[in-house]
Amino acid sequence: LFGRTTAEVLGQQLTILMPDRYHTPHRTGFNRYLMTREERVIGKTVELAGRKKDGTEFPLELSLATWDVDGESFFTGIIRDVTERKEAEVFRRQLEVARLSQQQALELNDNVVQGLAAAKLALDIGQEERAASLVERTLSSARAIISGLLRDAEKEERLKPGDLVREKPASLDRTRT
Amino acid sequence: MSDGSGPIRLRVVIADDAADFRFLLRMLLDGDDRFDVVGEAGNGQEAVTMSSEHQPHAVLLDLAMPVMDGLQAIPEIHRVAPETQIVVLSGFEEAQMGRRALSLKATAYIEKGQAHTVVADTLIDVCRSP
Repeated sequence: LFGRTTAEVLGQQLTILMPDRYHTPHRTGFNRYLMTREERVIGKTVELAGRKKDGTEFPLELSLATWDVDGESFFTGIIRDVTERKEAEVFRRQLEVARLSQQQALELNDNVVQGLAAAKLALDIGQEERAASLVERTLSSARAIISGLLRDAEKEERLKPGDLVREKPASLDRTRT
Repeated sequence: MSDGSGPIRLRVVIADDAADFRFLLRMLLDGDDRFDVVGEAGNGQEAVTMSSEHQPHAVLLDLAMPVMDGLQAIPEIHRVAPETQIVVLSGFEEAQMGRRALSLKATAYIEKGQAHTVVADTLIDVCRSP
């Protein structure tokens, strides 16, 4: 798990298995427990990072238990490498984002591109009234889509003053890349 | 099949889920005596059924449609109407979907929004080609 032999870890400080940033919290927490017996991590399963012999980190799940015999405290930790589970979670999130983008692209195609293409065809063949009506309907459906997309951001108040400042002025002349 | 210059009109099926767009396409082709619109389909499944029934010279096929999309419909249309030319007419950029559609053996790909004459010219072209 840690790229070390039993002999290499036996009798060593537990901190050799942790990234440096956990050393102080580990010592503080450990001493606090011995002083107060207040259980914070013990009895729970927590996600932490482990450090291999070569210095690389990996995500792990740790379950700690303790017991006392004749006034001495003993601890056991069950450790599981959760690299694969973490990678699967990241992959699933990426998939969700991709699926959402695809849905949004299809919605824009169905409503906006189709509406404008129909309006252009109507103009081409001399159907001005129909073209105007198509443009109006397309405009309102584009607004509805944009409201929908922004709604979630507003709910979480992620849309702050200044977020609507564009890098460039709005332009319909965006050429294809 | 017609060579495009004779008296035979090209029989065309229009497949698009947007009723407005179908109406305009029909209007465009009805006003051109080289074409005879023999059917309108609102989804890919209907496009397959109508191609089978009418054995048209060409199908104008949208891609994003309910029930069965255009990419699914292309091989099915080929199966039920092997002589029918499939012209995809889609809102998606050709760079994105064109190769996909042509690899499924659509004959041509037109982006919606191009000049209306492109539709008629392409239909004539694909039906004239051997």
